[in-house]
Amino acid sequence: MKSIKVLIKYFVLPPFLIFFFNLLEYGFQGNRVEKFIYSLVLTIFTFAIVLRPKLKKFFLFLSLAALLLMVFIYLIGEIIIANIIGSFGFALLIVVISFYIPQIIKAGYVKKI
Amino acid sequence: MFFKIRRLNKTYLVALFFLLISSILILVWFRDGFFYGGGDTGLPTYNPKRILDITKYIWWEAQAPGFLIPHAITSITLYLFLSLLQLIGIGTVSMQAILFLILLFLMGFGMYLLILSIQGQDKKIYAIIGGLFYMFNPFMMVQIWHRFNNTSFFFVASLPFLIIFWRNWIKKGDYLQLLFFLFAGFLSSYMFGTLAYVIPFWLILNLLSVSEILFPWENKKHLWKIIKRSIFGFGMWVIFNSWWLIPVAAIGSGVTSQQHNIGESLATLNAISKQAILPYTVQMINSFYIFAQAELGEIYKSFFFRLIPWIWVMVIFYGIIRALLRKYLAAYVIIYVIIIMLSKGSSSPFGQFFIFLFNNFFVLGLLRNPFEKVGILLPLVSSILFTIGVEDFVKRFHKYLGNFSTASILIVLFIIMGVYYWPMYTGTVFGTIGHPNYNDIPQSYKDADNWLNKKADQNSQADGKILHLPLTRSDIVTYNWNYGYHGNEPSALLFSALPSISHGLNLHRIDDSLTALSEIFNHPYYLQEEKILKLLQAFNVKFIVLHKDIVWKGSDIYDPNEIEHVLDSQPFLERRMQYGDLIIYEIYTEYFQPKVILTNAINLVYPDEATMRIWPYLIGNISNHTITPINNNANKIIQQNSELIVFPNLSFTYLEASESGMAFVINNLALIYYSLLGTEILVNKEDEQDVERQITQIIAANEDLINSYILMKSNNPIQLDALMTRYAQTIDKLLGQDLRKPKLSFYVSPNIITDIYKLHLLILEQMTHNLDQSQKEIIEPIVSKIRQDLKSNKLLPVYPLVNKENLTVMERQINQFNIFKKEEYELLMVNPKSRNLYPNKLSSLDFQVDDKAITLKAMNKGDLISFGDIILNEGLHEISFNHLISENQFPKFDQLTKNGDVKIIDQNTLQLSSDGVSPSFVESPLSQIEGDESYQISFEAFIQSGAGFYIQVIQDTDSEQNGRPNPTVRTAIYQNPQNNNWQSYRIQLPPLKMTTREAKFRLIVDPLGTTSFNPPTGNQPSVVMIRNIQVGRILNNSIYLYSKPQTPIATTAAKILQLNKESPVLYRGKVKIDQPTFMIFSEAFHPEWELELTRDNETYKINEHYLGNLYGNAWWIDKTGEYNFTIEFKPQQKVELGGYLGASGLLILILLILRSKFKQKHEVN
Repeated sequence: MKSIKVLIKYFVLPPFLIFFFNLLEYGFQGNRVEKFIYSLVLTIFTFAIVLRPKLKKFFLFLSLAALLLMVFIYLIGEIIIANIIGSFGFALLIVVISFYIPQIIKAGYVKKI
Repeated sequence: MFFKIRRLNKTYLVALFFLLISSILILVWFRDGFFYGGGDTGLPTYNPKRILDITKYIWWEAQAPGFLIPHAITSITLYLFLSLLQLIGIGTVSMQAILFLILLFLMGFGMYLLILSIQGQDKKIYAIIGGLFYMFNPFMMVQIWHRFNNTSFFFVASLPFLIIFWRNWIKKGDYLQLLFFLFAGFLSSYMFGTLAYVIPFWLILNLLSVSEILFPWENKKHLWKIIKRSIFGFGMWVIFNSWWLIPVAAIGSGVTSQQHNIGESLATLNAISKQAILPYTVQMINSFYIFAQAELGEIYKSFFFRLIPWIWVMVIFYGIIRALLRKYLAAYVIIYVIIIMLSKGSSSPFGQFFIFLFNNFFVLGLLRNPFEKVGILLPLVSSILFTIGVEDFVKRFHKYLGNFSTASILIVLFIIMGVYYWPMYTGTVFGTIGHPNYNDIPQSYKDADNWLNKKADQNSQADGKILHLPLTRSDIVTYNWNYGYHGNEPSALLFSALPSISHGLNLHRIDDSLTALSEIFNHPYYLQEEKILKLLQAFNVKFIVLHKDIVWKGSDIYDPNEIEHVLDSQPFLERRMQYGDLIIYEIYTEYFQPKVILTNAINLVYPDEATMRIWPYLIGNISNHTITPINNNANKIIQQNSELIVFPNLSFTYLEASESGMAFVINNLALIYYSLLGTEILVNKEDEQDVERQITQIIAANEDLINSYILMKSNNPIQLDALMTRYAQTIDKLLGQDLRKPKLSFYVSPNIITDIYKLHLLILEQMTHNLDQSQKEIIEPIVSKIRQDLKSNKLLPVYPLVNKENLTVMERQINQFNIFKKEEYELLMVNPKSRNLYPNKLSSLDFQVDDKAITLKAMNKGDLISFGDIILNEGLHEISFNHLISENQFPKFDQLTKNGDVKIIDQNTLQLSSDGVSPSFVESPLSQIEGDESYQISFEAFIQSGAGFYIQVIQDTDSEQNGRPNPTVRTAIYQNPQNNNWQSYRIQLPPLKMTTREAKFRLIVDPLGTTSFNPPTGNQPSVVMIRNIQVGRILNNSIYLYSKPQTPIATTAAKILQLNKESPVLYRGKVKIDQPTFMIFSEAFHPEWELELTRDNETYKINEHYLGNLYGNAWWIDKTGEYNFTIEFKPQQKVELGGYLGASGLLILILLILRSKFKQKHEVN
């Protein structure tokens, strides 16, 4: 049973996450390698939280930092880049918050970020 | 302590505070004594009593010839309230001011109460801050007030209260709270006039219900309790709102599907999502109005103003972190994230999820503008998070800085944030800078309405309609009133005496007929009084109001001065009154035709789905009313007609070419190829991967086919095989997809896809003559598939071209007729004046009727060209003729108007040059313009330097900007980097406007686009040489078939003895019928208008329902005798049914409240 869990965790989850994020972002485009970069990065962050839940806090602040960076880039007039960075930050925020949901369900709030 | 001021404990003082803020805003907004209007909403508070009279019925008779609009009934609660204000003598301006005051107050105070109920009763100061933030945020300023979408006013004002009641209901199960919820919803039902608001409304309520269940999870009992209450609450809401939900659900979807389609919706969604990208959505900013249009001022583009919104975004995000750590508030973070994700539509991150929902759930198709429809929830959730952020900020900082400093910092920040809403304090939020949306309706409108009301009162039946001229076919109009007016055509509201025919209804069948009514008073039809009278009678017109204050240039309407001359000369019209710019005409009683008539003298006109823009021609040549069977069901009346008029079921063009015309075909395909290369770059920039892949495949297929043809001609069989195989594989993949659908269709028009397939087919068919068997086997399946594609899209002629002698290349107009009855039909063509432009004045024309080629002599017959009689059997027939090109309309060079640096190189060659700034152009007038002409231009061009040049047709109806006409018919010729030499072009320009009477052809080099209104191509010097210019009118005149009466026209042996209009949806009367007859009812056709005859307590429903006079209702009555009759629009009964259901729901709820009170009392005892 344990080995099945390990198998799922290490071999099934990462490709599933890549597929899932690619599907949400692009409607799944298997023929474009560059489209996997975004999905891959998000998968790495998600997978890292699965392996080390303590990283949630770091990634939460990383997502907020990305959003802050979005503000600066927006203010210098680079809207497209601001959107890319902000979208990534927001996507990461969603991923992190989704890992807090069990806590929120249990206690109604996050006891410790 | 500042943050614990005791006085704030008094709720009434807080209410007074919000009332004061709202009152100050109202005093500023209405300081000039004008009310606001225009845009999508027209004049919603101008005459509430009139609007109430209209909207209490789902069939709007007042908007003649009648229009089904079921969801507008939601406005009766609002207009009932406003009518009461009107009744006690409150004027339009005060009424709007009172309404806005109430709405503003409810927004602020409602949010205050909601925050208290969520965060606790001790958070009063923060709740006030939250209330103020809810009133003053970019979404409220731009999307609500600036956009002036009145339904959204009600949504945002009522939502906090509705949420309070809903939360109380699901938490406590108190039926009284549910009653409050339903009652508040009833009072604000106007918001559902925008049907899409049902989605965000139930989205937020369901999110709150789910939060109550999950955050935190208690137990299964709690789960079922909340689910039961939510379902019960939803069920009661449905029952309570049945009075508008039933008609909308029963008939509304049909109307919306007629007016919109998924392709358009998806296009809108994608376009709007690009304006609602994350950096804008989190700021709650609509970039289109704030930046692209800069409607509130250029200052919003400045660094400081772009910085301000981030202050509250930071506070909200700080609030997000703090809310996660507080019990019962963490749920609002999740709700916020969900709403942001939905509001930004299909833009990143994870935008495909929204597209999936949009494509797969019909109801979500209403969310074409998600930022407007779902984003409306953002201010609410943001206000909650904002107050959490502010509260935590205060808690943290007052320890270090003290209360005074913390309060000072907050006040400074609020002042900076407040600066952003400057347009709200000055009243410039309505309209654009320097152009407030003030409405100052001229007194002449009131005078004219009064006069018409007096006249209508003299007629006890109040029969007839008011026709407003010039008649627009869109629903938008511009008047040059003091402060102007641009928005929904308001005549139906301003003129209350009779229904007004004043604009198009966006319904194909009705708008076709209104087009005839719009055109008939103008050249070339205006000389024929009989035609005009017939059309006015068919539309039951009693009065005509000519609006000389209309801004007609640049729109689809005609010069009112031209119309005035025509109206003044009509013998059946009397010019009765003139009030300012309004002139009223009345039809003499003897010429007026009542709304309900009986007749046997009819013409059968079909099919109903045909485009009948040639009605003005038609009506001049027939003497009777027209009857059109719906869905070709003509069996019962085919023998009743006196004349038969048959329009094509289908009309399209098809290109034919022989081997000698292949150079032209290849050249055309190459032009599409070059244009697609440009589109591919654009698509790549926009990161539309799927579309880019499809375009790349189309380009590859085009390239391979052209190269295959060249290889075949150069006898290179080895390379040819490989290329053809690759081509076959690519085109096969493309044919397997539907290229005419979104998203590709947003970038490459479906017509281009069709043209590509047609050109491929021509090339492939030519190639088959020169290929060996193995090569044929490669392309034959492709030929078959392309033919199948064109056939399934009804773009392939049934009969191939038979007379191919001397054919090089020719476009045919194919017309397919479905003939019901074997007859001798006269072949008629419109626009006889156009004959003058063609060789031999078009004395004869070659037609192909099915598989036979015939030459028919032309003869003018009134407004038509007659080509004599042909006998057609019952069944499908195809009549085609060549799109002849007229004699050259481009004059000799010395007759041209020249501007700028224009050189005549030789008798065939011109050179246009620009220094990079000044434009150069040549112009020449086009002759015999009747409107709707199409032109073909062919020439050779050599773009020596610069990006290219433009071809334009300047029409007298083009709008003007800075004193220059902005042409709508134009095309660009850009330099082809792969072929910098002389190149041949043959281009068909889009048709001119129907209203155009004068037009000029223009060739222009204009790098900066200042004169041509083309996009600037950079201020680089340009030199263009053009030679052998041919401009020809395309003979694409419509044709139809006409059969003379075979039997004498029957006399009508029936009479209407009595007619009473009981309401706009119910007419009763008496009729005496001696022999079977048609009853024509001049109200827009709808299958649910029903005619019933009653005699001796027996009722007969008349099922033979037809289209009368191409827009109205007609029934074939085959009974004789004296009957009572009823004409009724049955769906109105659904409103009554819904009303009863709602009342019964209310009764049930009251009983439940009483029961629970009784139970409580019993338990206490």
